[in-house]
Amino acid sequence: MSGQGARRLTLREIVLIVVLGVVFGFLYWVFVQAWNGLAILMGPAGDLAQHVLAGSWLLVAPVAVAIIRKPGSGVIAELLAAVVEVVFLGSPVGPLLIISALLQGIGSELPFALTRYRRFTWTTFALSGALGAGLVFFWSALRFGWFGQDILLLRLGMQVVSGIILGGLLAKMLVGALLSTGVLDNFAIGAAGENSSAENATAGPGAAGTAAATEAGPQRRVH
Amino acid sequence: MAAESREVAAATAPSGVTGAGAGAASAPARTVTGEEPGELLVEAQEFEIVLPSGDGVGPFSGTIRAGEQILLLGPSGSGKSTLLRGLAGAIPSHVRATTRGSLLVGGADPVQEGVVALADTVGFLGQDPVSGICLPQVDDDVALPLENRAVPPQQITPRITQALTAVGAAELGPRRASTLSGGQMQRVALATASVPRPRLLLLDEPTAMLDADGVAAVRAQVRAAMTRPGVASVLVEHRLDEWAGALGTAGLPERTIALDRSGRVLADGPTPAVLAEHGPALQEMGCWLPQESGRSAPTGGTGADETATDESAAGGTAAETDHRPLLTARGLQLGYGSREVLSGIDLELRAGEVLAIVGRNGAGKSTLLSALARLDAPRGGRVDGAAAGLVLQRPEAQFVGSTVRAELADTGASPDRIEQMLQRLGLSAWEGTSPYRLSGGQQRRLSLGAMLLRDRPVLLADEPGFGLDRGAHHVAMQLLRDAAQDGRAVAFTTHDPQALQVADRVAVIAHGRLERVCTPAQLLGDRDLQQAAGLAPGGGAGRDGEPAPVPAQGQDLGRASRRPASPGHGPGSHGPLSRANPTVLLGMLTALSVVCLFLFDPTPLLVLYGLLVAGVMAGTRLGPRGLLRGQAPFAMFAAGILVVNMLSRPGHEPWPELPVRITAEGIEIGAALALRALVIGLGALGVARACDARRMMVSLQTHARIPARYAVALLAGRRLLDELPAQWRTLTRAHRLRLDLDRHGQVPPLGPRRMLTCAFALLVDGVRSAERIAFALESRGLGEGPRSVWRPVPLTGRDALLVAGTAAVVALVLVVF
Repeated sequence: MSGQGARRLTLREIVLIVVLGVVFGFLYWVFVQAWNGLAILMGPAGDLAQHVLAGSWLLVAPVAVAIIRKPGSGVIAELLAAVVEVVFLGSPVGPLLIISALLQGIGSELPFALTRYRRFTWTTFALSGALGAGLVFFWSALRFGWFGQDILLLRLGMQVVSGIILGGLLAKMLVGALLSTGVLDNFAIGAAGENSSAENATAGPGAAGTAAATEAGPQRRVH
Repeated sequence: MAAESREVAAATAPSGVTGAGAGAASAPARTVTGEEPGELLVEAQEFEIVLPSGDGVGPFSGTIRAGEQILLLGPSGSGKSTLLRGLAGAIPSHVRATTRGSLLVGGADPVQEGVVALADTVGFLGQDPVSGICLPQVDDDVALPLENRAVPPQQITPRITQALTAVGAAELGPRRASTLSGGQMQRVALATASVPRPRLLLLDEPTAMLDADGVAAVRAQVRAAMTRPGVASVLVEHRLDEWAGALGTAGLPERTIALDRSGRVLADGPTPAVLAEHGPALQEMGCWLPQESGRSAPTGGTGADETATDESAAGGTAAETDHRPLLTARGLQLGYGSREVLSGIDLELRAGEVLAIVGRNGAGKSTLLSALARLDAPRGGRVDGAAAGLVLQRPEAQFVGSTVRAELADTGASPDRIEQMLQRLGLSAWEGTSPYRLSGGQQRRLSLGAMLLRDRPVLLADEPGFGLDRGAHHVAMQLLRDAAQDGRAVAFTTHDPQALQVADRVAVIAHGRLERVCTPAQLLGDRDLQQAAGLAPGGGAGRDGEPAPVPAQGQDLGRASRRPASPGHGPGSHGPLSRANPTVLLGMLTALSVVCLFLFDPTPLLVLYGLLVAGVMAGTRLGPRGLLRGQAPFAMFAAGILVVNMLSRPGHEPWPELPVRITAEGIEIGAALALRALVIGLGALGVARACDARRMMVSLQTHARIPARYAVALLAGRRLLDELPAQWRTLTRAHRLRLDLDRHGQVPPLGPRRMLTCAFALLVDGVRSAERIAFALESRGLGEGPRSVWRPVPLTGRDALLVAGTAAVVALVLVVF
């Protein structure tokens, strides 16, 4: 779908992205039950309150980029998540969600792309969240007719803040937590962690020997 | 142990041990079959795999020829699975590791060429039944390896039938994978692995995650697959005692490659000779060996897994004589939905006593434990007494801490006691490690330890020895014994006769009731009772040796995910629209959505909405109630849109006396925007109802040119989605077990913080599944080459008619209104 040669996504990476989309989709479904109740209670504010959660829809893109570290991973993650939402979960947004996903993906991935997928700091994640939420805002505004409302700027502000917190900083926390469980060891992020000893702190006694042996592969351990 | 070793040596006479006789590593061995050598399938020269952690396996030198059956034996952590993955081409493309030496499989280099290149030679069957089937429907999954080899569709159908029949699963073809039992799933997975006729069959503990009743059928089928002419097989199996069964060593593959704890090759030769020579050492390391190679006393494998508990430390505090009841069940009636599982249960759990609960798969053992833990309110009868801690079968489902120490700290225990527990569990060196990184045995100890720290007088454990190697099994059982020694009442479920050794009493569950409570010796002396308990073969389970799976209770994804299982799932089952081409339907909905974006007048939108309601109801057989349910959440959202627009748009105010500003322009635009949301939402609902996931993905592949890898990956995601509600339910129940009882004596529901922990656990599980699914898909040959489609989705004149008709109607509406 994008890129060439070694930078193309492997099947492992594609499946990971799909699974992230499926699991997040399912979790949104679980948590949105609670949210819907809340939104009804808020009455007219419910429409405004959607911006509070806007950032959480972005999560899958920065998480995928941070794990896979390849061009296009964020955009494809959003697109596949949108397909999951529309085709499998019957999202009421319909196929137009694909356009939202494209914009979210581009916005979320851009800050990482600018660092050539090398820097995964709090700032990069925050920027990713802000851009992801900001770019799609104008498309949503068109879809829902927000232009011409008094509260347009309030909406934009809420959405960007939500993007930074839920779609950026939370993504970094999540990736860190996943990394320490060891399930990401066989993805690009795991390989990167091995080279910088800083991230070894979480790896437990098993990884104690790895820092010493980076050249010709790790030293074989004997029990 | 010394006496035991002598027994072993006597039991199996050493005959023709090969070069590995000295017990040294890396001795190359020739095949043991007497006949002419088969085709050379595997050729290894000093092949060694080293993982980033420093663990590794090999070096291995030797060959595998067609017709050979090989047992790969070694304690947990010795790298058996890693070696199998290496043979399948998954290293380094799936598992990051470095390799040395050389390896050829079917003439290809697995390290360079990867899984897909080897798929023609290798068939792989893993241990997890859930990821053994990648696609939502059984026959699609069996068809996948053939599609990936571009086999013409008309040849695929007979081969699916043939492969499913060979594993005794002919009737499962049209079933949804999520409705199968574990044993059925593994048999289907075996059919999928063997349908392309691989010459090398790799079997990684194919029955490890099955309950007793599923095991027998799967084993018979695996054996049959292994003995097919021209096929070589490598089997990893840690319950050799169960695998060999009454046949003993004769029931095992004829050649054995044994690994030591560090993954070095200990021996490679004829199975009886290897077991005779290395049996005791292997048992010492924690392997389960066949019965005649030394059924051991319960104290057998102490210290085999990392560190054992100190048995003497806990002992002797509670008075052995005081067996007062701590938890009492009276007249319990248990079940869910309309199904009654157990009735008339009277049971006492007594201080200082270990009670084993046995019964067939699905007999209600776990249901009983949940009721005793007061996780579910009984339908009748009552449970009285002290609070109980329950440890579930999969420790991972219960973890809340980011480190081992945090996991124990979540119990609220003091740092001193945590320190003590860490030592007792032998986990001190791992205190800063994530619980997810621990081995199976360590995880089980940690979850038991965390429950022990909660100081609940009753400890319950569901299959505490499940899937563990011999050493880890012993340690887990010892922890239960110690807990009783401390004065707790302990109960655990099991299907393993060996586990009864730690029990004082056994409760046998059969025929929906508590059949008998007796001593382990009484049970082991009563063949009929053992059969009723599912501990001995025979005695009539379901038709294919296992009962129907218990349907997932409680929540559901609300829509397609758990439709009625088998028939009616093909096109047409949801009305005429489900026969239309899915890509066309998606395209029409997109066009309609775009049209709506340019409508700001409520009238045409209202008319469109009315027409769409009629169309969707008729086209997808949606009743008025289904329509309301499907639209309710979105109607709420639409109402919000209307209100916000009424209040937030400047313009003419029809009611200036109101305290808030409401404008006519706001009402009009708001109504239009709300209707727009409703129209698109209803269209999306209709398309989702009309399009079955498989047809959608096939159609997107054929008509929208989505690459096959993406389409199949998405379909595999759909399959995973089917499993998530049940997984979520397991997780939330597991986490509730950590909460204290409320004032009604029941376990309360979870708060938001614990829900988020469950969500994280689901995500961790998901990533693991993703790795397994990707490997499984590649081993089915899913690459970028040409492929066929078994059941194509046509694009017909009816689709053209549908598009033209809809376009005409929409155009008419726009012109008239």
